[in-house]
Amino acid sequence: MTSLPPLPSVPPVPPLSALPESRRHQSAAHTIALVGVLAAIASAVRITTVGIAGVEAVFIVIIIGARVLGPRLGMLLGVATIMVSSTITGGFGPWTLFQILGLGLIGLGAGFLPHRIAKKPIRGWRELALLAAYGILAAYFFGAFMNLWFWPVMVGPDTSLSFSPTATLSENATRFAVFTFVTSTSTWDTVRAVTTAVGIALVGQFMLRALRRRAGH
Amino acid sequence: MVMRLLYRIVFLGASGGGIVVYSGRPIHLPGPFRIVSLFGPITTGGLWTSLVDALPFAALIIAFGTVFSVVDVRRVIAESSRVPVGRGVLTSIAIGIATYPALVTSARNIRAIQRLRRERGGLSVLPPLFERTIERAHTLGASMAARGFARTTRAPELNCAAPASWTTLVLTFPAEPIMLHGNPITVESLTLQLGDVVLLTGPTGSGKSSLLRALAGLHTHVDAGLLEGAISIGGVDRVTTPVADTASFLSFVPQRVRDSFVAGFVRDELQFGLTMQGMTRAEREVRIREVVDLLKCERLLDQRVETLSSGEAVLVAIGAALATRPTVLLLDEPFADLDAHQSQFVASTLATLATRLRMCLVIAEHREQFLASIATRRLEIGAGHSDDIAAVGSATAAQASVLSAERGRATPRVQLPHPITALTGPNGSGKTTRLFAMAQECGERAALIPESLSDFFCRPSVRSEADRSDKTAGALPGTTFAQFCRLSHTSANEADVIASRHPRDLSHGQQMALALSIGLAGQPDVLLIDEPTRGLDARCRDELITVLRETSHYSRITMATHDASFVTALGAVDGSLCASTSLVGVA
Repeated sequence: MTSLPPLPSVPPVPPLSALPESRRHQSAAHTIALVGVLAAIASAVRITTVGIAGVEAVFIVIIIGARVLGPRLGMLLGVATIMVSSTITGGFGPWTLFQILGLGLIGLGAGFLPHRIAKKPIRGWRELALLAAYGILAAYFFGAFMNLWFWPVMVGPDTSLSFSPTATLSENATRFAVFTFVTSTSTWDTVRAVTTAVGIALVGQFMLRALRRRAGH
Repeated sequence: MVMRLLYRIVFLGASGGGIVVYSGRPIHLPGPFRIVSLFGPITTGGLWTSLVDALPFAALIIAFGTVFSVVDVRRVIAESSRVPVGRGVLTSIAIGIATYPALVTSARNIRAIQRLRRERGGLSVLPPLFERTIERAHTLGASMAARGFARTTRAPELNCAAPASWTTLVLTFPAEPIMLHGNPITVESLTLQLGDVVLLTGPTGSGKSSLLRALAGLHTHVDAGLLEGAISIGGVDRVTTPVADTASFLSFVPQRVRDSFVAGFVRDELQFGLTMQGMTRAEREVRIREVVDLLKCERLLDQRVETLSSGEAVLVAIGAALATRPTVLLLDEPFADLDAHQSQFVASTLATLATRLRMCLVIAEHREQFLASIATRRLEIGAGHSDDIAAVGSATAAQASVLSAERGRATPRVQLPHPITALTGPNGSGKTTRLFAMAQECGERAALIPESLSDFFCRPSVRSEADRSDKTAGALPGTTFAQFCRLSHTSANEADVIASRHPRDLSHGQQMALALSIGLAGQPDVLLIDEPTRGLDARCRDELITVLRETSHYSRITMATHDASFVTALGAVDGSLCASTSLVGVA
């Protein structure tokens, strides 16, 4: 029992207040203001691009913002973005809660992305590649997550794709997987994933630089 | 509903009683999807059930829509910023909602400016917009803190008898400065008495703003600056006291007030500081009424902040600062955006507050003529000494200079090949709008220099900005940068350092010089300038006059300004130029 290698275990989810902040000392007012205006930008992006089929450039802002802000504020950014854009467009509905959760989780995840691998900091094109890859995952995740809420109601009972209370978990999961694949993954979500990745590659560098210049990194 | 019907038809869900519309054998998918079957029989009964089942779901969506069309979410969120739990989230959301219209407006402006710079649209609008937004977040954060956001619960008791005093100060910025102030700023010690009106003077970039920010606590707490010496505000140490804890004692009106607006409506903006102090709605109403009467701006109360003109925005910012009834009021170039009439009015209002209420004022201002009569002390930064002023004497002097300005304008003669035209008019008369319309008409042959210079820049360094300008203008490489060095008096050995700086980190004068050089690079027929003298001291104004005279050989110049003395000076420098300075009043 001398030197055990560190276990590759999944850390327990810490309470939100204990999540690491990747920012140097900044006042509370600053943090709140930064999240607020970033949410406004993300909302603007969301509102202007939502009409174009499948293009949801909002992920770009959320992922890059969360990368600099850290998981806690990244999650807050996702949540605030949905609230702001829904308030402006009046688009509140039963889906809002799922959007909040979905985008919040994307922000949280982006904040947890590693900053260094083997003590070498991830910067430059490597960082963009990492974020773009995460963007693709996030796009598919968000699509599936949003389907989850209307899957039972949209299709209704007793079809071959419906949620069935009697079926096993794996059977229901298969039904959902097919539903998701047919309705969104193969179409909207793929467009969304591609645009997100391309968008991060195009504008990621200057956005990261601008954010870090002010955030004092 | 249609989607649902479609899904059910495809996925075996439309069977039931009634007439059989389509009787097919369900198709079973292979492999892992074998539980899923497609295209079963379709019957009218099945279709009907599908529609009826969907009704509650549709009703739910409609119910949501109805509720949110009645409830004003903005109001709810604005009010809830007083709730202690989750205030951060709610405030973020409130700020996001309040910022959104301003964001859309500035995106539109940047687009317009870039079109005039012959930049292609699309992605190039993003860098300035994003930079601007992050800058705004910084300003906004400072503004919120200075107005009491997130006060500590044990705020210290402040002593009104000792409003503010400081020992000899040295203000510095760490190795990577946010603003360009390479040199440390030295300030003479001073002790303020109640009712003092201190006029801070000094050349552009000498550190007037830094001193004000240091007094408000922003230099050390927000700008990450360092401070040698000690500042005492109301008897407590500035450096150890959080910015928000002196909010009820000290108010600060920064430059570019628009960026410091927290709320979407003027009324909410005026009461933000009061809300942070936990006042009830009734108390706040009384205070707002008080301020509005004092500044005679009741008509603005229900306007959205982005619809305000620059001058009105300053009035609102001063109003918000006065609403908390501060003992010390700091103002950073409040007159830069006010026309002569309003400047006079604000100056006299401030004078009243200082004499009647013994309020202590510290004002940084280039346009001294409005303050000379009310200032009791003058502190020159850079030169480093403070004087007591005999108020009466300077008042007469100020009036005399205004009079001579009036006379200078009255003797026009036409001489120059290219006239310099000044669009003048009171605040909110549409000078800027007119200028943009002119720029649109002239198209390619016009260069417009906007009031918010930072919107003009879209590259990360002065060098790349200048190179970009050479390329778009088709000028010889180095033209723009050489011009910039001439205008900004940048010596050859400084040039390399400046070239690598971010345009936004330049001082205002340097930004103007860069913008002018970019504008001139394309040798435009007409150079349109919006408020060129904003924030410039006497020396910079003289330089600008020289530059503009030089420029008038190559291009016509039209500028929007409310700075009558500048217009006069531009004409008065050279008798022949005086002639062509025609004043076009915009109704």
